[in-house]
This record gives sequence, C-alpha cells and structure tokens, in this order.
Amino acid sequence: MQAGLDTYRKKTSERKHGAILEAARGNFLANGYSRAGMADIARDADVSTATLYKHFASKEVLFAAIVKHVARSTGDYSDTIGPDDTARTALYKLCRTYLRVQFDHDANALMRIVIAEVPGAPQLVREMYDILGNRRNESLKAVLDALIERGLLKPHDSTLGAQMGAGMLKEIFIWPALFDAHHKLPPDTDEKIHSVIDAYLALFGPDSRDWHSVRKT
Amino acid sequence: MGLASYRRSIVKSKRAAILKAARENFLESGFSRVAMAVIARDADVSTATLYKHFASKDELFAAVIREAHSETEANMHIDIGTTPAHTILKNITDAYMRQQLEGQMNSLLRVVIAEVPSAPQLANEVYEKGILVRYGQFRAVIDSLVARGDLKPHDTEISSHCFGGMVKEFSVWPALFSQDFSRPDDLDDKIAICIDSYLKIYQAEKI
Repeated sequence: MQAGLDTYRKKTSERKHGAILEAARGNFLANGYSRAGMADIARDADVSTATLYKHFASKEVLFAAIVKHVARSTGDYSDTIGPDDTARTALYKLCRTYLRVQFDHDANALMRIVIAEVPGAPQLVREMYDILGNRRNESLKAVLDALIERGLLKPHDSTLGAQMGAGMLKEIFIWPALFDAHHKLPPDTDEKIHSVIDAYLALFGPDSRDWHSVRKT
Repeated sequence: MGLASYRRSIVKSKRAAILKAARENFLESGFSRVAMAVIARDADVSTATLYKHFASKDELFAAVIREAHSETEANMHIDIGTTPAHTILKNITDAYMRQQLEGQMNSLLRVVIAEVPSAPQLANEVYEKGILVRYGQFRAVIDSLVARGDLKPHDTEISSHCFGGMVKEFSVWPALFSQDFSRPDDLDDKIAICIDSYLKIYQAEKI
C-alpha cells in the first residue's frame, strides 16, 4: 500500500515538473526572461507557487533547466553517423541534426532571449553559451575525430574544424533567425548544406590539397 | 567663412552630438526604453532640432548603425588593382573587427536582437539594409578576385557567407553572449587561418 502511494506521489511530482517546464517555456518565449513572472508560470502550469519553488528554486534555475533540456535532447551528435557513411553523408547528417535543434526546438528564440539578458544576467548567459555554443562544438569535434579515425577526413585540428564548420552553418541558416522571429529554413537548404560540406571537404577531405601549397600565396 | 558655412558647421556638430547621445543611450538602455527627449537633453539640443534631423527613433537608430558601418564600408569600395588577395581580405576583416569590437557593433546588435519581439521592424531594417548590403559589397570584392583569376568561378553569394561565418565564430558569436568580451589574443592568428582556408577552398585551378 505504502509503495503504491509513493509511486502515485512520484508520478504526480513528475507530471507537475513537466507541466512547469512547459508553462515556463511558453512564458519565456512569449515575454522574454525578465518579463516572465514565476506567478504566471505557476498559474499556467496549474500548480501553487510553493510547488513551483519546490521544483525550481529560482527563475534563473528554471530557465537554465529549459535550455539544458533543449541542449540535452539534441546537443549530442555521437549517434548521428552510421558505420557505412561516407564523409559527405556523415557531414550532411551532422548539419541536419544541428539545424533541427535550432529550428524544431525553439533554440533560435531561446538564443535571442539569452542575448537580451546579457546586461541583466551575465552569469546565466555564460552558462547558456557554454551549452549552446562550446559544448556543442565539442560534440561536433568528437564526430570529426571519428571520421578522421576512419580515414574519411584528413588528420586536422578538429577543434578548429568544428568551429569553422559550425560558423559557416550558423552564418547561413541561424544568423538571419536572430533578427527575425519567423525565420524558416529556406527551400534550398539541402543545396546550401552541400556547399558548406564542399568547403569543408576542400579543406579537410581525403583528396584535399596540402596546406603548404596554398599558404602565403 | 560666411554665415552659411557657419550654419552648416553648427548643423553638422549638432548631428554628431545627437548620434553620440543616441548611441550611448541605446547601448545603456536598449531601444524601447530610450526616450527621444532624453537623447535631445544629452545632446544639448531641443527636441524640435532632434526631430528635424531624425524623424523617428527608428530612423535615429538606423543612422547610428550606418555610422558604425562606415569604416568597413570604406574598405569594401576598393579597386583591387594588384593587391594580393590575402591582403585585401585581411584589410576588410580588420576594419570589420574594429567595427564590431571598438565600434561596439556587437553591443548594438545585442540591442537589436533583444528587441525582435517588441520592435521587429528595427531588426529587419538592420538586417536588410545593414548586414545584407554589406554582404553585397563584400561579394563584389570576391567577384573581382574571381575576375582577376585568383579564385575559381563559384557561387560567391554562399562563399562570402562562409567566410563571414568562419570569422564571426571567433569574434561575434562569443561577443553576443558577453558584455565584456574583449579581442582575444589569438584573434589575428584565427583570422589568418580563416583567410588561408577561404583561399584554399576557392582558389583557381593551377594550369
């Protein structure tokens, strides 16, 4: 009987936790971080503010939980590539996964909210950038290393490679979304992704030219 | 010096004072919360004078952005002559870096991005008339490198964005997320790598 009650309580608590996250996400996306109120979030989640604060000690903790959730659900690229993928297929999958996070999980909007909070909550922003920028690049690097290991890419500085690759992708697809809440992936997304891959393979593909032949020309 | 030229110099200095006050206020308080009256007061002009120069706050903000772009723009309108491709790209990138860092464009962009929900027209203006126009000018420089035979014929629309993306990864993205981002010690090295990479990707086939 006691076990049944504990399970019931745990389930209720989990359900409330999920409802809070969902309500918070909606409130942050609609109002930005500063203007979102904990009382509104509690009301939308249909819980008391006491319950809300039991789950999340502060608005900052709650916001961090949402960004972490987005990053966790999609920031890991280790399962992205298959054993028989060519370099191009593998890189294509990486790009698509990267863009899916941004466009299907509100990451563009969350980034905008985070940037808006730079003057007000610098610590929170630093943590968010670490999740949305640095750790993602590390995860990309791990996949690039695997491709180097398989001989599909030339040995290269994969930290730098991840940054340059992510930079190109972000410039073409994500940068415009920072300035437009309704920005969508363009119809020629595939074509553009392949242009980025062409560039990457020209630098680090197995048939790419050696560096010394171009330096200082 | 006649009366007319005296008046012109007064108008010019008032305009400069307005732009300076506007920039400081926008950087301090964002776009929505800044009142035109406060800008006029800080610039030591009447609101009537302010509105004679700039019909609206939107227009004033756009002018602040235009001013911040001016040096980079000057480096785009060039005759490439026989200047090596690497030098051309380096000069443009250096001017762009000064604009973003010392010229506080990174901070101005943060203001714009923060206001996307409340002032979408502002972000649209900055993106369409600022960023995209600059890209068009950069693309023209790249096209002239293709015409000179330094680079192979290719889609310069996308390649100019690829170059911008590589550079911005090291200098703009981190700065958007930090108010006290300062020029990294190795930025020049990173820029040199970006330029080398770009030239490697798109270099003309050697005959």
